Amino acid sequence: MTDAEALLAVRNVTKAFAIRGGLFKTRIGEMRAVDDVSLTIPAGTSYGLVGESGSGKTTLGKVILRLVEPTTGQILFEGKDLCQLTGDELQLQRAGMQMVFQNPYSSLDPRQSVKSTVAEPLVIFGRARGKELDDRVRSLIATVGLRDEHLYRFPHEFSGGQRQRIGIARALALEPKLLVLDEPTSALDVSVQSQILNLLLDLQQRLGLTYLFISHDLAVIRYVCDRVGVMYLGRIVEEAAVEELFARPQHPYTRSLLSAIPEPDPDHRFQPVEVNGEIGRLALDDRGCRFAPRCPFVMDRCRQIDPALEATGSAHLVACHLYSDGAVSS
Amino acid sequence: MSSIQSRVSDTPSGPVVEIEDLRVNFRTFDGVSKVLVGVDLRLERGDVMGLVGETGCGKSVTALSIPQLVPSPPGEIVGGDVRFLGQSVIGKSPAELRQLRARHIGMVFQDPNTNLNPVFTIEQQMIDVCLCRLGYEGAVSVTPFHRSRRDLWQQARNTAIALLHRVGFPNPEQRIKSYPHELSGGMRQRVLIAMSLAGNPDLLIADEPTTALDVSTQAQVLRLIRDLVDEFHLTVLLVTHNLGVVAQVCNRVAVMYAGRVVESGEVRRIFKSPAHPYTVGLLRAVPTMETRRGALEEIPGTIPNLLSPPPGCRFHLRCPHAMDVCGVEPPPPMRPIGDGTTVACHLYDGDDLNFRPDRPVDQVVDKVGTAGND
Repeated sequence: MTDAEALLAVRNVTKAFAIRGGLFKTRIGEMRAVDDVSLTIPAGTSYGLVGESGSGKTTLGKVILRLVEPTTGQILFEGKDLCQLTGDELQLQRAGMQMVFQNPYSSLDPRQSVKSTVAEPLVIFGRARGKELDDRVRSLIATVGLRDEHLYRFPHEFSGGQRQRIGIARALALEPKLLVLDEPTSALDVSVQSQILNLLLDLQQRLGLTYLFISHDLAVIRYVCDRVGVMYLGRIVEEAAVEELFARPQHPYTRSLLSAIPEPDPDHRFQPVEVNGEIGRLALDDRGCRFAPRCPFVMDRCRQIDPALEATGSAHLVACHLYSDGAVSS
Repeated sequence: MSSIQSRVSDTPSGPVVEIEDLRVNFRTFDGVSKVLVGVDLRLERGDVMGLVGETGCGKSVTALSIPQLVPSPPGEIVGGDVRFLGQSVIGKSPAELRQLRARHIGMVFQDPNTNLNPVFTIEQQMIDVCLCRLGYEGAVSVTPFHRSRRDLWQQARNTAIALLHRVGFPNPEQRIKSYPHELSGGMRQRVLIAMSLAGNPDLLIADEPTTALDVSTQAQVLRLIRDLVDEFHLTVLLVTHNLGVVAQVCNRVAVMYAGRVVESGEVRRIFKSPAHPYTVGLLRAVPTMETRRGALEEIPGTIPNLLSPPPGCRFHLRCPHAMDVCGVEPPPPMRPIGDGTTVACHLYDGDDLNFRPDRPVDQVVDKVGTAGND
C-alpha cells in the first residue's frame, strides 16, 4: 500500500504540549501526547484506535483533522499534505473529513433545531439553498433513521441515541469520505449502542465511507473495524488486521488489555495478565520502552532502547524487543 | 492484622436484604416520576448479586433504598418494604440509620474522585471511618495530640493501614499521608473499598464501582472484590450496566427495566437461557469477541420516559413478543419458572414455563430503521 492509494496517510506525526511551571510559567518540558505515529487507512475501510484514557487516541484523531495543530509530521489526505494547506484550501479539504464526537449531550448546540444543526455545514459551504437545502436535510435525517417530524425539535427533546444520530447526520451533510468517530457509543446504553453501531456499518456500506474509529472498548472495535492500532502513551505499540490482532496479540500490553475484558459469559472466567500499576505519565527523561515499568517480561534492553514498530508477520506490526532481531518468544 | 479479621456473624440466619414491592416516586417540576414500581429483591447471605439495567431503570435508587440514602426530597417511598437482617429500615431513627450505615452496610460509589474529600489526606479520612467503627462518632476530637486519646488514634491508624494493605494499596505506611489528587483512579477506588470494609459490614453495596476506570484497572478492582467476598464473608449488591462485569464477578443477577426487576436468578442460568424478552435483547445487544459483523442485534426504540410511561408493561413497545394483554395489564408479579429463576412477564402467565423467547428478532429490525419512539 503506497500513500497515494490510501485515503489517509499519517506520517511521523508528533503533538507535544508544553509543560509550564516555575515563577514565570516558563516552558520546563513537553508532554508528547502523540509521539511519532504513522498509520495508513485505505479508502472504504475502518481503522480502530484503542487505548486507555491518556493514551493519546483522541488527540491523534483531532490532529488528523487539524483541529489540533501537529508539532511535526505529515497528514496526507488524498495525497495532499493538510499541514501545508491554509485558509480556503484547508477548508475545502475539511469538507471531505468530518468528526462525530463522544458526548452527544455537549456536541450539539442546545439553541439550534435539528434542521439548522444539520443544514449549517451545507449553508457554510454554499452547497444548497432554499428548497434544495430542505430536501437535502430531510434525506440526511432519514438516512440516520430519524423522521421529518424531528426536524424542528431541539436537542434536549431527544434521547442520547437520537442525539448521536443527529451528530452523525451533521457529519454526513458534506458527503465526506472520512469520518473520525471519537468514542461514538461510550456515552450510550447497550441497547442503543447496538443501534448506532449497526447504523454506522450500514452507512459505511451504502456510502462507501472510511472510518477512523476511536474507542476504549475492544469488543466494539472488533465488531466495526478492519484494522486496529493499539496506543499506549502516545505511541502505536501494535497494529494488525482485526482477526489477526485478536487471535494472536503479541505486545505484552495488548495481551494484558485483551485478557482484562470481562466477557459476558459466566463460563469464561477471565484471568487477567498481571501488569504492574496503571497507565502513568511520560517521564521527562524517557528512554526505552514506555511500557517497561509495567511490563511482566521486561528486559534490560527495554529500559535503554525504545523499540521501533516492526513487522513480525504479514502486516502485523509490533513495537517490542521480545519480537525484534528474531528473538521471538512469548 | 487481627483487627480486620471478619467477625463470626452473630446475626440471625435468613436473607440479608429483602425488598418487597418497593415503590418510589420522585417529584419533579414536570410531574411525579414513578421511578420504582414494585421492586422485589432478595439477597441471601453470601450472595454476590449483580443488579443490571440501563440508565434510569432505577438500579441505583433500589441500592440506595437499603441504607435509606434515597435523596428526599425529591424521592419518596410510597409503598413496599425494605428489610435488612430481618428488620425494616423504613421509619428507623437517624441514629439507628447511622449505626446501620457505619457497622453493617459498606458502600462504594462510581466516581472515586468525588467521594474522597480533596482537602484531607487519606490518613485523616481513613482514621475517621475507623474511629466510627470503634464507636467514636465525634471523631474530630480524637487526634494524636490529645494524650488521653493517642492510643485510640494509633489503634484506628493501624486498622486503616491494615485495611489499605489488604486492598493492595502499595506501601500504605508512607502513602497513607497522600492527598486524593496524588493517587490514580484505581488507587482511589481501593481506598474507598478499604473504607467500606472498615465497619466489617454484612453487606457491601457497590454502585458502578469500575465504570470510571480503564479496563486493566477494572480487572484488578473486580478481582479484589471477588477475593474480599470470600475473606470477609460479604454479601454484595453490585450495581452495574456492564453484563461482562456481572458474568465475571456475580453468582446471581437481577435485571431491571424501567422501575421493575423483570428477571432474577443464577448468573449462569440467566446468561445461558434468559426468560424475559428484555434480558434476551440485552444479552444479544452486547458485542463480544465472537460477534460477527452485522450480527449484533438491537432492541428497537428507547427507554420510556418515566413521567408518562406506556400503559401495561413498560417494555411492550420494544418487545418482539408483545401480546395484546401487554399493552393493557401491568406485568404479573415475579413468578418462579424453575431452576431458581423468577420472571415478571405475561409470556409466563400460562403453564408453559419452559418457553424461552429465543427466536431471532428479525421482525422488529425494520422498525429500527426509522428509529426511536420518543
